[in-house]
Amino acid sequence: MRCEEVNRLLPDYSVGNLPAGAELHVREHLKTCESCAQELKHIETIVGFVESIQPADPPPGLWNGVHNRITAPRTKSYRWGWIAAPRRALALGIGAAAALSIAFFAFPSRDAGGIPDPSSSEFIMGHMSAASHDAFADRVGLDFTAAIASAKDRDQN
Amino acid sequence: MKIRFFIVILIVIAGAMGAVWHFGHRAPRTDANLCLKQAYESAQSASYDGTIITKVLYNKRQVQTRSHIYHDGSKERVEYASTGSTVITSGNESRTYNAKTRQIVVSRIGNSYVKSNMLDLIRRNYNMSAWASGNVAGRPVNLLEITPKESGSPSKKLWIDQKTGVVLKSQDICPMGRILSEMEFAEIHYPAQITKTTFAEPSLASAEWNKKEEGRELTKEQAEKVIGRPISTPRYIPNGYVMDGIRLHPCGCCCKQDSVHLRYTNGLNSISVFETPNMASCHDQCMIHCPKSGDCEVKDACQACVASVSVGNLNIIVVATLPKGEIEKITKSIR
Repeated sequence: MRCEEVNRLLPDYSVGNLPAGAELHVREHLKTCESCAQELKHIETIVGFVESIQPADPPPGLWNGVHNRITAPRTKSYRWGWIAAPRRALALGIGAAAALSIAFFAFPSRDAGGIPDPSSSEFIMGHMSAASHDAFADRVGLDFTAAIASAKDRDQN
Repeated sequence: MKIRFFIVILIVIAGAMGAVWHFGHRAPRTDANLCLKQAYESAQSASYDGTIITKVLYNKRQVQTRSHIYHDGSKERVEYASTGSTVITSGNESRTYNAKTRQIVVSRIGNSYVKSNMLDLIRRNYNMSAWASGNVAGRPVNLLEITPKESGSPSKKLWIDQKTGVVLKSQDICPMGRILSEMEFAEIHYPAQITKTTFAEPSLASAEWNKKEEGRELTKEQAEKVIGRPISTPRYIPNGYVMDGIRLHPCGCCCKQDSVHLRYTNGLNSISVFETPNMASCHDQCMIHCPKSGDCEVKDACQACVASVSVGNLNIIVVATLPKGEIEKITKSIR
């Protein structure tokens, strides 16, 4: 297997979604190819990081604070002079970015939840399987989602 | 006076240039109804094979798969690279072969009144517009945008091959604007490169494979026999949805109790109501934890909202891609 082919399969390999044959080929390739092994490590690190983040509320009043600082008139008694201003802005920027990241992971959008539980997912699969026969249905997408939901169910049970 | 005259001239020139730019760059509108009809008919007559890239939202993440499709009239074969499964559709029957689980799922495709009036139903419930929109898989396409007249249902975008009517790309979009699923042909060949074995059953040692049947259409009487009592229909269903039949849903849980699947559709979106006899002796085992009788519990999932309610000795599960409030309203109307 070539590196570009392995790289294409790595996301599926990292979550155990590859068929047994392909999985074996990728595993064999990873034993001998350092750059692909490194790429897999990156993917796993990102996934691990996302999963490790605990939902947390942004500090109360953060946005008001940011807004007030931006809109407040500049006072003459600026203690650290012009050198300190960029640092404050940088600190605020980092704080805002951190708060945004926390908010992003803590409050996912309404339509992006997970499959609730095995019993529900079975009915979702039934619903999707029937929907896949509709005119203009994305059959491949619906069947694929049903297949991975079913695989997860088996793992959970 | 001269300055005023020049200003007026400048405004007129700028306006004329703007109009030329606007009409020159606007893609010519296409007849959306014709596009829809062309796509619908080609699904039953076209012959092609190609590679499809599909992206779906699953457990908050986007998952991608590559599959190969062979399509010839009413026959179709889809091979999934990442799940190792193959789906073969022929006429009114679809078979999913999963090499990993060694399971064959046979589903029947209803041939009901709704199917024969599908285009009218879509036109009644959705607004459509279409225009020429570049190329997909190297072929010129029309983009058909289908948005619901009643808010809350997902909308759809279809990129349709201008010559053959085949849908080369599609997107299902949530009311919140997020793309729920997307498929796109990376390459397509007309006609399909088919052999004698393309639509034949994969060669397998049948003794080792489990066969599961789903979607068999039931009459009201047959459905009542399955659940052992009269079926409970929702008194509230959102505008535009019509009944699309009653089917059998073989249930792996609930002590192997089959369920009855009532389906409603508005042409592109559907509502499923599953009714399963609630057997107290195996309630814990079956993992359905319905709230106490009459109450309704709604859960979010990527693909759909799920609500459950217990009515008498029935567990009722409602599944649809609709706002939470609507699902709750449907579920609470079941008595």
